[in-house]
Amino acid sequence: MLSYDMAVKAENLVVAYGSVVAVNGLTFQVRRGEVYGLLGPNGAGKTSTIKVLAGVLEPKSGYVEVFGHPISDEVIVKSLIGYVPENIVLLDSLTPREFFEFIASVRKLDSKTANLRLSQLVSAFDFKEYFDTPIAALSMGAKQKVAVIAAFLHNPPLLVLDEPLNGLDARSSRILKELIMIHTRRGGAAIFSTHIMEVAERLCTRVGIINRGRLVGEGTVDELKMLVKSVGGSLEDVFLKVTEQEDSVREIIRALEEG
Amino acid sequence: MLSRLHRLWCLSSVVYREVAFQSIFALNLGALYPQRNESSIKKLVRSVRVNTLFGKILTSIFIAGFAFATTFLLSKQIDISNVEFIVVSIVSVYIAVVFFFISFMGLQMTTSFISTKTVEVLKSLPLGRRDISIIMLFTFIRVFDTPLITALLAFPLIYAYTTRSVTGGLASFFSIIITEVFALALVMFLARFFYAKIAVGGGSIWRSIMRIIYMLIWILPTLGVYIVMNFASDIVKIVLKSVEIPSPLAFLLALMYPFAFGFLIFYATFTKIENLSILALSFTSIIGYVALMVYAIRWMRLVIVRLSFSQFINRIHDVGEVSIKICSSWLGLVKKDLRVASRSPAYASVFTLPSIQMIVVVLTLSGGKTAGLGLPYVLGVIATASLLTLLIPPTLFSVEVVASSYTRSLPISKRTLVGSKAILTTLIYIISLIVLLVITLILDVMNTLLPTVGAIQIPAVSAASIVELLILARKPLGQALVAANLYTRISNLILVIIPGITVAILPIIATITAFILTQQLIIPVFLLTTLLEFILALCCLFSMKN
Repeated sequence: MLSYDMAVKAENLVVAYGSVVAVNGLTFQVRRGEVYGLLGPNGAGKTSTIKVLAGVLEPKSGYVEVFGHPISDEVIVKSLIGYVPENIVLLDSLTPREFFEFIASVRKLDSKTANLRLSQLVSAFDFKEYFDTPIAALSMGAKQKVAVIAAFLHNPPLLVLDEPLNGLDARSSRILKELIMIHTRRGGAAIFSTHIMEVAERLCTRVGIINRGRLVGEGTVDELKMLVKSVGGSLEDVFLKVTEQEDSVREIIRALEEG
Repeated sequence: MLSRLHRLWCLSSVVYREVAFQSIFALNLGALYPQRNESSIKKLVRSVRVNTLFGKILTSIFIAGFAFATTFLLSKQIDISNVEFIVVSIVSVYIAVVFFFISFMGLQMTTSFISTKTVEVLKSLPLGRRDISIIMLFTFIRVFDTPLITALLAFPLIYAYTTRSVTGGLASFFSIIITEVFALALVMFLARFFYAKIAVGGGSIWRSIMRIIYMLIWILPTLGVYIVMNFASDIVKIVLKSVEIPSPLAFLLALMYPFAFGFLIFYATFTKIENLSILALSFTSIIGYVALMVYAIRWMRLVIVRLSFSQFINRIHDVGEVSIKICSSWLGLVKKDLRVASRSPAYASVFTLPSIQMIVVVLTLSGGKTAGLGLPYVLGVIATASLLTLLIPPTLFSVEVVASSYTRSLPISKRTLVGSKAILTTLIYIISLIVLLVITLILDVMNTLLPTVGAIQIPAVSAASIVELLILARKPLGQALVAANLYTRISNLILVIIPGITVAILPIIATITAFILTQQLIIPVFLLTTLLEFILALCCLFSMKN
């Protein structure tokens, strides 16, 4: 399975909510060993794309495969993925212990391996004190940790992370970033969306910028800078340029200053 | 002051609507709402409003209807000799009806009210702590408003008019006020009990068993409604029988709720006093009940104030060893469903219905009807238990929608999903049979036919639940029937339940036919039909695509 080099292959992906088209003919690929960052303004279609990959949303049309398996092979594809959603809504009435038991059982994990990995992750994210507290009573950051630990528990070849750093403190953010890097160094792949340009610049092997459901720019951070002929600028400048927001942002800032 | 209260009352309507929504779609924040368009979400919210209003109106109609029936019954008895105890018993039964109906109606929503986090939103607004407490109090009142007003007005007015007694009407008004306070306090106690004893995670098998017992306690008002409705005439008969010859029971009744109020209303209506000691006892006990009412009001006030400061949530629990027990995927799903459903008031009540029905049946049996219990009656009991059990698969499907924006990313095959939920449904049915067996043994009203027929019905119940779940898991119907509208659109629910009921009832119809034609074949026909259905359902399950 992991001998397959292409982790994700999406072709002409279309996602629609009724008459509203969120993703419009998106095509991209993620290879093993890559961290692919999805960037875009609010409502660009990042989360919809991520949800399709995670199997929680069905596309209207298009083709997506994960490690050579079409996403219609739901059970196989989902067993290859570790997912962190944007809005963390887990089974709130369960404790993290019960939640991890459920996840590990459904994923048919070996007890010894899973427990070893769990204790490593719990210790890494300093999560022990919340282990038997109902998820409903946890803070947003602690809930995010539950989702992150659950995503890494089965050591999946593909990580699908939607704003994974949301609510995490500096320590946990650093650990998560390191975990993603270790994961890709070991031959895994990761696709994640973020609004934090510095994170994307530091972490991503390649970046895809989405605007209004379409891919408007793709490549390494350096390639993107070249694309907009603004070498030396930050990814944020690139982002605003390719999403055609540069002028409007400038005008808004001017108006604010004058006001 | 009045305008401030009016403003707070208006604000409480927003909190009430949110609590009503949460009580129906408890923890459904993870459902795939973004995939719905705006009009379908509006329709969803509207249907919640209609549902809650419908529940209140239905309860009010029941309460008013009972008030009419009770006074009509009384008007026919007024001239006979033993009027004292007839009035006492009939009025007492009515008070019990009001007590249990109000508790039953508000239990689920109050349980959601206790856990609501809407108070967090209120805290962020420019409102003082006292204002927040008043809003929460108003919200609590809104849960019960129409039935409370109906109970308070219907019976006293009709009673005063029928008996031509203003003092009798006032006494009944006073009695209903105390009854309503008791009902509200009971509901609040049970709601808190739910979170203290049932909705707590973790623990051993023993603690899980205790949770099931606690769940039965939590659903006490449901049992109370059943008992009062089924045994109203028996209660009246027992009271009358016990007082034909002056007995200690008559004195005991004068002390007991709600009979003490029955005596109060009687003495306020009819001025003739034949038994001074009973009058003295009932007055003494009523002073005690008034004191209890004052205490209950203070206690409820305290609970609401604490609720306004969120003192019931965000507790950090003791931590055990960081290790998990991993089981097979279907068992993992069963455990998850059981945990999630047992900690949500809306789901938990559905889970306990088959067992409650069995308890009611046994209580009926303990009334001395065991000897004459025939096969048609037993089949009727088992059919009812099967029908109540078949409400569980749609409920379990609703559980699956809780946090579906996450759980849908897990590698769970539809076969495992349907199989695990069918197993759990069957287990709940078996538990109701065990409850039946245990209580018949305890009360010494053992009837071998009931558990035998119940046991033979197990494969049919299992097959029926598989059929329901297969319908729910099918696309696009399954997507259309997500829990978010399953319980608010009765047509959708019927689409799922009717085929299930047909499968569950078919063996019973076959058995009744055999009973009419040739009685030797009853058990073989019953057994064969249930097994055949089970095998067919399994074939459908294993042939389904993932």
